[in-house]
This record gives sequence, structure tokens and C-alpha cells, in this order.
Amino acid sequence: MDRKDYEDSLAQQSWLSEETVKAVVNAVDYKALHDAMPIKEIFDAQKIIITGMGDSYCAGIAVKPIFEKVAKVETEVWRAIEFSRIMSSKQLGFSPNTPMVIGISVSGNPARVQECLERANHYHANTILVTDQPSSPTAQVARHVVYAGLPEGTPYGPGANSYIGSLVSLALMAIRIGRAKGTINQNEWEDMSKSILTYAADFQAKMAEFNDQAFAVAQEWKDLKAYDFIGDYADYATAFFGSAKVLEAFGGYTTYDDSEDWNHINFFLTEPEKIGRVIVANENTPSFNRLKETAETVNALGSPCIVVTDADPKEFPEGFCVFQTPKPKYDWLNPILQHWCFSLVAGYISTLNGIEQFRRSNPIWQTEIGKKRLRGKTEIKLV
Amino acid sequence: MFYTETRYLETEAHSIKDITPEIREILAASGIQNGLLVVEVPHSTASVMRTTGGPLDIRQDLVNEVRRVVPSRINFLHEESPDDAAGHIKCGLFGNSITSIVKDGKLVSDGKLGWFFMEYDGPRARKYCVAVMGE
Repeated sequence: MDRKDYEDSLAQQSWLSEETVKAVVNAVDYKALHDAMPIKEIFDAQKIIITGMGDSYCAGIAVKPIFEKVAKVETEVWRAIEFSRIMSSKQLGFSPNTPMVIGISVSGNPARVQECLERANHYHANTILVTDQPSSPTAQVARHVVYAGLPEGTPYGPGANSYIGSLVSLALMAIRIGRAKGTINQNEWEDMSKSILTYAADFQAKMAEFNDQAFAVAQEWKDLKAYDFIGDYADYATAFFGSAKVLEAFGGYTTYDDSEDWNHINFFLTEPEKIGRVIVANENTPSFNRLKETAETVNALGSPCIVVTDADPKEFPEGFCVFQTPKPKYDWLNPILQHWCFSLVAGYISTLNGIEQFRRSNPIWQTEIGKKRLRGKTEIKLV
Repeated sequence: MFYTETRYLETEAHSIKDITPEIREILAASGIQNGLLVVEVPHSTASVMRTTGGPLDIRQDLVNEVRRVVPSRINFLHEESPDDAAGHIKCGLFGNSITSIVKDGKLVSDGKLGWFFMEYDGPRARKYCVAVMGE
């Protein structure tokens, strides 16, 4: 069986991962960041709120530590539906240009992020959209736009490289805020920006190995009953993203949780031997020991397991499939690319089982009401 | 005769560092008895200054006054950071090099004045260059 015969669009995107990172770093340069975040607005922002849905919401979770550790600004990540309809208006515009609301939408089309930015504008908060479509409807309502500059033809769904576009743009924004506020010096600023490119090159160097590993796992996992993801803190985003790829790529049953909740809840799933478990556990994650305990529990249950980690594979039970990713200079870089490991597995399962991504040609998913589900706008009750 | 040497240092933010002992070392290494010694800082947000080598509180006063003269603000046209923008102004105002007279193998102002590396941004990896010319 030749792996190349089973490459789907995710595997094809994986070969362009480093090129994508370079393109985004090139697009989101000092001038772009300066235009989108004038220094007065950076200093005005007493709080940052990041919002989006699906992969964009994941991106917010993944970069929250960069905003907190590097920019040192209190940062919250809100689901778009909760930001637009549930968040108290007292959180918006309580001081000029505060909070800095960063919406994420690569395509700029879905209505929910647009609603969030309209609501934030209404209360005189600052609004910035991270997008690859600066003329999109959502970009029109944002005060500022950060254009991710993805290479032409980058697919948005399932979009591992489009996710990278959001993550790298956001990381560069956090680093820029840190430099402006003096929480990092010029050397650190330059080094952090450079480290994104170095990590992308290191990761790309292992991409062929990861593709082979993913294809081997996909052959063993393609008929499993369900796929269960575990990750904490920023790695929760990688777990969430992986779970989303199960649904998008081949429509499997899936769940995701943090390690503590998993030990209280998902642990009880029946037929554990038929459930593929994916643990994202990096060495410097504060809960690394709990994640290792969780791995031991998964082993005792007899579930097949993938571990995505920058740690030594010997930290985990023998027999687990460990994707050992390059150790980045800064821990916050891990979520920018580690999502590749399971995305590749999901893509290969899709082709091995002959299941079309998003089931695009199946009429059940192409009803009029279904088509409107992302872009349709409903009235927002401002509170 | 011409002698040159570059020294490296790690600075703290908005700091002053006494480099007088290093300047004396470099002069001695040059072997030059009579001539000129130039200290130059090849950065745009740091410089070299001279003031008394005596009480340490004077050095801190110098740092504080420089910050009061050109405070870090957010309304400079250059927006990399307030410290960076103010640092460029300070560097322009106070200059990047100092020339001193060497006589009989000694710096004539040594003992009265010291040489100080001024960091207007930082913390940073920095350097300064020293050239000694004479015979």
C-alpha cells in the first residue's frame, strides 16, 4: 500500500506548512501590525478578548498564553455565540478602546464574528479582525484588519494551513504588543519572530516522517468506534482541533476534554479498546504529570493511543504511537504546528475509507437550510 | 599608531554602567603614551557619557534626569515602543561618542570623570568600540 495514493487535501497542505508560515510572517510585518494596532490603542487596551468559532475559537485558546506571557495583558477567549449574545455589556467599552476585541475569521464570511465586532463597536470597544479576506463582510465592520496573507489557493476547510494563518498572525500580534509595552526588549522581539520561522523549518523537516507515521496509524484506526482527544491549557486547542478534523474529514464520532475532566467523565466510555485516544502532552505544560497519569490510565483501559509531544517518548507507556515534535525555543510555539499530527491521520482515514471530506456531494448536507447555517445572520439582542 | 578594540555587555533597562576600568585596560593594551582615545557606541538607543566616578547616587540622578528630559511617551511618530522612540531622541541629543586626551600613558581626566555606558531602552546585548590614536 503506497501512502502517496492516499494523500488527501490535508496531507497535500502539510507539504506547504513552512511556506505558509513564511508567507504569514511576511504579510504580518511591522507596518501591518503598526497600522492595525496603533500604539495608543495598545496602551488603552486594559484587556484583550479573542473571539471566533470552530477552528478560530481554537486559535484563540492556543494563543492565549502568548498574550498573557509575552504581551502581559489579561486575555479572555470567548465563543462567538456567547460574545454576541451573552457577555455582559459592562465588559465592553468600560474605558476608551477597551477591551481590544480580536475577531478571527479566515474567510470573513460567517455571520457570528461579524455580530461580535458589531456589538463591540456599539459599545466603543476596539475591534480588530484577523482574516485572509480583507474585503469580506466581517472585515468591513472591524475597525482594523490584520491580513494573514495565506498563499493563494490555501484551502479554508478542512484548513490546517488556514489555522496556521490565524495562529501565526495572532502570535505576531501578541509579540508586537509585548514590544510596544516594553515587556520584551528588541532582541527578544526579533528572536521570537525568528523562532516562529525556525520552528516551522524544524517541523517541516519531520513532515515526511509524520506522514508515514500518520498513514500507518490510519490503517489501524480507520474502523474504530470513536476518537477521544485530551489536552490541557493551550494544548486543549490542539485536542479540540483534532476532534474537529475527525468530523470534517470522515464524519467519525469524537469527543475532547482536558485531562482532569477526562479522568472524571470520558474515562467511563464503554468498549475502550474500540476508542482511539489522542493525548497532547508537552513537557512544560503545567499539568504534564497529570497527562502522564492519564496516559497510564488509557493504557490500562486498553485503548489504542497517540501521544503528541515535545517530550521524550519514554515518558509514555510502551506501545503508544508517539509523534515526537521538535522542541521549540518558546513553549507557546507548540500549538502552532502540533495539530498536524492528527490532521494527517484524519485525512488518511478519510481516503482509506473512501469518505468525502464534508460529504460535499451528499445531498443530505446540501439542503438550503444547511447552506445558510454559517452565513445567515439573525438579530442580536444587545444586552 | 592606531589601536582599536570592541567590548560587549548585557545591559539592564534604563541603566548606567561604569566602563572606566575597561577603558583604562584598553589604553594600557594599546601601548600608546600620547594621543587621543575615542569611545563610540554603535547603537541608536544607547550612548556613552562622562560624569563623576564618585558617588553612585549621581549616576542614578543622571539616569533619572535623562528620563525626565525625554520621557517615554506614546505620542511619538515612531511607534516601535515608547522606550525605543524616546531612546532614539536621547541618543540624538547626547551623542554616541566621546574623545579623551591621552598624555604620558594616562587619560588626563581620569580620576575626575569616569566613562559610562547609558542604556535608554534594554535590557539588551550591547557593545562599544574604543580607538586609541597616537604614539
